Amino acid sequence: MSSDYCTEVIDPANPRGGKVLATIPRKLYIRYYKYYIVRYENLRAARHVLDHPRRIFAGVRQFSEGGWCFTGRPENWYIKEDVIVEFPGNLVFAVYLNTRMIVYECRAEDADKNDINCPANWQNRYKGLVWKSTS
Amino acid sequence: MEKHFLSEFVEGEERLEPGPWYNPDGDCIIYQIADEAIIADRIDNVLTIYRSAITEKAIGYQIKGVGALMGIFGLDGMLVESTEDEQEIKEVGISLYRLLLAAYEQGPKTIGRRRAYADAFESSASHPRTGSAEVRIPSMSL
Repeated sequence: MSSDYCTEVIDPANPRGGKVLATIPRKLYIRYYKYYIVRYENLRAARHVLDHPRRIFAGVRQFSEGGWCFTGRPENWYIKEDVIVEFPGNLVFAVYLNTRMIVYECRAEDADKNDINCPANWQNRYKGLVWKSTS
Repeated sequence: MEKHFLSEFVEGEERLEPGPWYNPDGDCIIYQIADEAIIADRIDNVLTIYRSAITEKAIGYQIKGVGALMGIFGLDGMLVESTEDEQEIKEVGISLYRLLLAAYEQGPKTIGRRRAYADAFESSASHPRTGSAEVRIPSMSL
């Protein structure tokens, strides 16, 4: 059994088609566990976003082609070790994946004032919005 | 709270003091000095400041596009040391301060950027153990 964690997600390259595997690599979650337990706990929020994305954005970097950002709204999140609170209404949780669908960053960001499922200033940050939840 | 979905994979792992880290999957450096939830404050194409979700203070940062920055500025201005094996460089030690300065020089000299880059410097310097702010990067990643 691979120790990377894989989960099926909407294929951002073909959102109306099938699914693809997204990977949370062992080296990432082990690092989080060893050094940043709050980030480790908030991988629960990251998994929720991967499973239930509200928006998917393409083109997340200036210097490298491709990459994806899945955003969503977990019910709650950890703010300190053993301290869990409701996820704030003015934030959105973002999970960043590279072109190989490997998660390399997940975090909260300020939400867009007109669409709380998008990070603020998303229009100038990403190449485009490729998928949005209808529910 | 229900059991963590990765709990069986981390069993027996030791908890340690954090330091700056280069993540090759994202070609980025992550540096966070306090173990609290973060709100990311994207400053420009290179720098994102991590603000504490509790105090709103800067508690770290992410530097993106590290390989590209190295390509633009070269290793000379940023290299602290390198590890060689049979005359081949295996790993390089990069100064985060020099990398941040190079990134700052890339963009407009606005007050907002200056403050954010100052926050990044200060969060590095305030960490008791990693005040030297150096990160090691496998040469094959550059």
